[in-house]
Amino acid sequence: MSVHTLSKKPSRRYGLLVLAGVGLLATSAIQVSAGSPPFSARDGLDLAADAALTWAEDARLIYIENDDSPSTGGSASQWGYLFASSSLEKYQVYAVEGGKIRKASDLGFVFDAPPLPDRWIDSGEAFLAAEEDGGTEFRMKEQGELSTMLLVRGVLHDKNPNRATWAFVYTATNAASLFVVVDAESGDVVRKWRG
Amino acid sequence: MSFGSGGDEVSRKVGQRNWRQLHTFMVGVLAFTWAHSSLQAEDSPRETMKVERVKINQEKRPSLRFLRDNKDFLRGQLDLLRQIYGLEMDGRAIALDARHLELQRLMEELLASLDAARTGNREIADRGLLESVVEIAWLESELDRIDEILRLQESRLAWLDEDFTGRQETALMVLLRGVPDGEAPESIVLMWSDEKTVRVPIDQETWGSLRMGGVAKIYHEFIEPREHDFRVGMEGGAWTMHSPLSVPIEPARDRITFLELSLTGMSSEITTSGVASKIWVR
Repeated sequence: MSVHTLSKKPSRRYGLLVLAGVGLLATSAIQVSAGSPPFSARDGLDLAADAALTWAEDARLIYIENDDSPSTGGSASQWGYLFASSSLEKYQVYAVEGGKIRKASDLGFVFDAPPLPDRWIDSGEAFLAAEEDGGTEFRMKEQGELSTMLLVRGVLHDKNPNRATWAFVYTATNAASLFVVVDAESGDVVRKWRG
Repeated sequence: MSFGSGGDEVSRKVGQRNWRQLHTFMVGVLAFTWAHSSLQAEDSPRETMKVERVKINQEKRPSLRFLRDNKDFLRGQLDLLRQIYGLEMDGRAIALDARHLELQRLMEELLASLDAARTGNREIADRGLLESVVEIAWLESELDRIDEILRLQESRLAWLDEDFTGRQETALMVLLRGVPDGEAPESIVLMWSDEKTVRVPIDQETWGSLRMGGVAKIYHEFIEPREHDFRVGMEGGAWTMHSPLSVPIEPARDRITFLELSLTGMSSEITTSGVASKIWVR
């Protein structure tokens, strides 16, 4: 058996190995890109509202919260939208991810928050306000992170509860959480506390 | 030639020869090792290794977790602020649909242009004969005005067309085709995972049409644009013993999803038979 002849088989094997390697790389690339891209709260609202109006003609949006860890810029890869219907006396949650409704379910308890107004600043803009007014400092100083973003009306704005507010909850392992409440119309930070 | 230089020459030649020998030996050893391993590999039984993609744990946290975890605090805060301030829960003005306002404006424009056209026609009819060049010029301007009315009418029609086609919403239409062997079911039952149930009786006239190769529409409603665990059951006689058949559907947003169920080949006697379904979107 000549060296030349021998060299063919290993080269074919090496070729297969290279192909396998490329395949593995491609697989890992797919894994990396498998997660849905993050989006702002308003970007998923149309789809959720479409579904909600099919669920109940009088469906009103009352609450929004990120379902997945917040990404940079006040976005998340999944958001939860809560709608209320007076005629059905029910609350319906739509979880939107990757341009699709991943889950629709009954809330399971009463949460009679007033309907959100049509006009509110998007999560990205409110996030910047929260970051500027304590969020960034908390994250740097306490090694913390933003864990929750929620939009609601009539709950967290002590002085003017009829205004809708964004609330940003920053958490850290060894420190009390930071709550930053942003007026969802003006974009001003209206309240902050640790707890 | 110096001794030293001659010695260098000899030692260089010896070195070159040794290097060649070493090179040849190494090539031989490599070739042997390669051949040996190759033969071993060919003789040994083939092992297959299954490479599987690593399953990604994409378990998301439950929807609205913060609300669920803090519902008592949030509801308490809501009650407190409602008592103190009185939240605006009802009586909030709802904005009028901009489409209705636009339709009203279009209608007013249309009526105004019709009036203008009628006036122009009457004036032309009243003049039995165009008596001068000035009047011909007037007629030309009148024709231009009519052209303008037609152009505006075209733009209104285009708006209506766009509005009509752009407002299609997510809907599901269920169609029935074919007839089962033997006894026909009295009704088709459509069931959703959220316990919504629609029972559609099928009369003899419809069965007659289906026997002739026709298609019957049994359901057409708006539907949430998401994945549905849709089930189809049949009732009447032995059909009631059949378990509902699962037909997963995911209606496309703002489109009509057609679900055609074919009963051909089904039988009330065979409870395990499935239903052939076809789904398409328009």
